[in-house]
Amino acid sequence: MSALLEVADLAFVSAKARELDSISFTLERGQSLCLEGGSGSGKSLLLRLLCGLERPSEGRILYDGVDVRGYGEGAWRKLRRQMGVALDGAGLISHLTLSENIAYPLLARGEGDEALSAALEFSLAYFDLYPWRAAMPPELPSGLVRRALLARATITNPPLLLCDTPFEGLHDEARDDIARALSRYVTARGLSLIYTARSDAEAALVPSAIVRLP
Amino acid sequence: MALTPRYLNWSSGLRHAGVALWLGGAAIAGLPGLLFAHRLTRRRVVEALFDVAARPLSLLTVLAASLGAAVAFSVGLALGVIDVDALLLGALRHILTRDIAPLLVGIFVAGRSGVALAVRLRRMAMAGEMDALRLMGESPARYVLSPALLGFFAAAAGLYLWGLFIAHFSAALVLDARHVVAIARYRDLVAAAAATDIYYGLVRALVFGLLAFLVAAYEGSRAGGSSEVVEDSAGKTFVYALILIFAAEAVFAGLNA
Repeated sequence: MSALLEVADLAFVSAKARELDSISFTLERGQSLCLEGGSGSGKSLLLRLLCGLERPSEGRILYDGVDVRGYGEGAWRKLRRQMGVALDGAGLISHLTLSENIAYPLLARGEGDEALSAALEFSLAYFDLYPWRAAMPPELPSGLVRRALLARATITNPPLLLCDTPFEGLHDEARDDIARALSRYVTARGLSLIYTARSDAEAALVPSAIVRLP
Repeated sequence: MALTPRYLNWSSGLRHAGVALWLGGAAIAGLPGLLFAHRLTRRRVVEALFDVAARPLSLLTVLAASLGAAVAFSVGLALGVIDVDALLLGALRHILTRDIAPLLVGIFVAGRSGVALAVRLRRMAMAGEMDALRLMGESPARYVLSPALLGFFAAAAGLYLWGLFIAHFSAALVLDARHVVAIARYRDLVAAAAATDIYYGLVRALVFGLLAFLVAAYEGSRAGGSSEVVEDSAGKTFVYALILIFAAEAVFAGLNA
């Protein structure tokens, strides 16, 4: 059986620089992996490559053994439905309430009202967002936005979860809360997780293998 | 790049028109999907219709009334003195219905709704909302552009008909007040041949609305973002749309001639 995700010799060259070079790793089903690196190491870019928001200059990305290099936007849209993504640069939709933002991936899949309500109630409760369910995103502090992004990424119960610096900029208590919630969720559901961290301390918050980016 | 796929390099000069057409095509392709869209997209459609077509109504009414009156004064003074009210009304009908009302709507839609759309698209891209839509399995073009296009078409048609009515009404009041032509006579002569003129005027208004939309979608989807860029993009949207609208008006006038 092939790995859930295989990355081989991945490189990304922008007009300014070679931002990523020779990145290789494998993610098995149910495994957690931390991409650790300092500012500018390309960890967020790597996540964007993995979810098809950017295209690599070199190398291969294989999901379930299938090379996605030739995928168009439609094929990526289908593939993204198999993953939950919480990216720093892909925030909440500002004119939708918190509940609507979290429920959106299910609405986009045409999920029925009953299943949608149940999943939404669970997510709001699990990530402790219920009191803010009717709030608009600009009113929310950054800790709540991070929890909301996680709730949105997990509401479809995807087999693969990609999270960009989920603990950054949070005070200790909020950081530990999110780390616990994320660990419990991933373990309980047997999901595969890739997340990024800036430091060893952040990387240690969720038990995982570590890939260090230069 | 906000709406066109990020990995496509659309930056070189000759591709500008291609990008605008790609965006227009994506918006049109998304229109049928709106019929079966989920409730948040349907709400987006209603908001777009309200923003683009309903909100400007009061301002457009004032503008149309002023223009109708101004044209009536000018044409009435020029032709009223020789007592040829049929000629006078024919000229008024033609000028207001085929030229002035569609142009007024085109300028209005470009200046108000076009600029608003371009700024909104840029802001959404800067806030990562386009990427967020992609990640949620939504097509940004269908969620953002198709409702906006529907709004532009509705605005172009609705505001044209309303503006036309107001402009003629205002012109009739002016001519009646100045004892050039009675309101009843005005109504009869304008109504007699209104359908063809309205058809031409409506087509022009829709084309102008589409041009305003394409420019706004193109400017809004260009890469890069800062508050200065957004302001610059708003100005460019209006100017480019005006250039295209007046060029199209010249083509229409030539075809009519």
